[in-house]
Amino acid sequence: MKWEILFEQEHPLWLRFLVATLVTASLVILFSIVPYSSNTALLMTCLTTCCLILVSATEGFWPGLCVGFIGFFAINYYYVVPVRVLPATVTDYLFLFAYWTLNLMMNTVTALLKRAYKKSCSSESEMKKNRDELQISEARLKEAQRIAHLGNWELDLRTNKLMWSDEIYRIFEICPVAFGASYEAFIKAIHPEDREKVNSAFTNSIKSKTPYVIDHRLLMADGRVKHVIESGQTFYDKNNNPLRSVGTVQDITERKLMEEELRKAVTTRDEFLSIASHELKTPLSALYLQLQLIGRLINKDNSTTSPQIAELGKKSVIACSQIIKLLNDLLDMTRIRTGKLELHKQAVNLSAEVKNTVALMSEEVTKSQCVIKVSAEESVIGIWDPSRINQIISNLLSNAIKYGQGKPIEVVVQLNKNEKSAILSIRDFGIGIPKDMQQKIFQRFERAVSGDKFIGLGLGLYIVKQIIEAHGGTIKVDSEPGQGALFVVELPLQNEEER
Amino acid sequence: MNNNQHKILLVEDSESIRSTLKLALELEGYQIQEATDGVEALKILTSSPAPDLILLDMLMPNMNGWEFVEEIKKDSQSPLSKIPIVAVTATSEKVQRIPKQIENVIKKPVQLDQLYQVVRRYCPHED
Repeated sequence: MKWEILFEQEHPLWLRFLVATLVTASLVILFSIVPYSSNTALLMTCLTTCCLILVSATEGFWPGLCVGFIGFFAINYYYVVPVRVLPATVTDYLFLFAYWTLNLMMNTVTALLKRAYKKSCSSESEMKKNRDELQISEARLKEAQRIAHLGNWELDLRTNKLMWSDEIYRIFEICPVAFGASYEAFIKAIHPEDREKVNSAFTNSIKSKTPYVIDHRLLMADGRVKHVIESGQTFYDKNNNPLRSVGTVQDITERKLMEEELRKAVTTRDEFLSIASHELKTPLSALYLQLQLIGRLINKDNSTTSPQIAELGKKSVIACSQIIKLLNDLLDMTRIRTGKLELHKQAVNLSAEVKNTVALMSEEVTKSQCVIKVSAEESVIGIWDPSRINQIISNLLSNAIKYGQGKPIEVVVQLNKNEKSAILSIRDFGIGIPKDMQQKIFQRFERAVSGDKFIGLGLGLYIVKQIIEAHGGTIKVDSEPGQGALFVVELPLQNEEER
Repeated sequence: MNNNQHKILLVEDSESIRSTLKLALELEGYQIQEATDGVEALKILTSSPAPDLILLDMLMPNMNGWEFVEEIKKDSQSPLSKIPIVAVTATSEKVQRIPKQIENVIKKPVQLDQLYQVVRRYCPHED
């Protein structure tokens, strides 16, 4: 192995020719010492040849050529009869020429051999380098798979040979030796209740030539259940015969457990809100009734009670009704969240409902100094839940009053041109809604203005939107801050699926 | 303020609401009979003279409003089936459909003005 260094090293030019000169000088000195005989002539020729090959191989073509050129000239001088005479005859020159030709050939062959050797060396080292890199990246992949709990598999569909990466064995908690690598054996490792599901997902994917992704469970030997997400894809030959399937398995047990916890927490919260609201509702209803009754008794007897008490009586009724409204919003929210918002549909005239609601809110309207202008077509009749429709109208109207700054409010009810839906638009000219809030106002607990100025939970528009969507409709808002807001509700007269 | 003692049967499971409604109606001069659920209401109906009006909560234990209505409207010949019934219920209760036989609905939370208005329709003042 150490010899390789000799050939691979690239000496500086001066060193290469120094070596050549030293070798040549040694040869010439040797020749001058060793006397001529036919044996020594042959020996020295061989020695010179060896030297020139060696120099050529280690130091390169030109130093080798120098050694040969001078060396063979010296051979010619010392060992070709007549010895120790400079070439003079034609024969002498023929010999010299033959020697030099030999020199050239030797050098050329050596150079070629050297180049071939170098090439083989470099390709070998490149292969080694590649091998090392491959090993490193394979190790990295394994590490990544272990960290991500993600394994990959490959199934040869012709031989039914299944390959698993190490991580899959770890996820499935199966010893590579004990596991018979085949698709059937793989199915066996799956939770019994999910086997059919996984099998059909896989076979359907092969048939339909589309990749598949499926969540399923694994049943461990000790009864633990793991959740994995499995995805795969199949490759086909020219005639559309499936060749091989490749895919991944990821252990998502931790994520599943966390999701489960989260879901439970949300359900508990919704249940709590629902129960709390329900429990509060009955005593509040009684309180509301009692306050009204007190107010009535005070009014009847107004000769003896002070006007302040009468005023307090009135205010307490309003406060109580506000609490009830908030509570109803909370209840509606929990209904929506738990999918229990039920619609009891019947024929409803939207125009009539709008006029009714406006009339019912007359007190609120007068107080706000807004003027409500209603322009409604005679009958805009659809199949809707009347109480929910009222909720939409009164919510949007009371928002318009609340944020309308006492300016006029325009309400329009009309049939859409296609006569398949009704359009209710409510426009106010009040404080308006900033652009970045215009979508947020339909989310839970979102309000465009701070809670100090206007009371509320920020549920009104969320509930309105949910009710409208439950009816298959849409709500849009258009607003410029300071110039008011326009809410447009579109409700299909009949829901598509019920038609 | 004597309404010639119009008699009203008040069926409501919540004690606080029932007692307040009773007081409110008594102040208007009506005579009130109380029941906490459908079963008790049926008992009262069969054991004493028929009332002029039944105010009925829909969500109640034992026998709810729907069952009660079905029970007394079962026999259309019976005098009981002729008594007008007004439901007193929250609009967004779980099962909301009000039976056809019910004459009118008072929404919970009860607005006193609306209560008087509706009740007066069935038990008019005689002055």
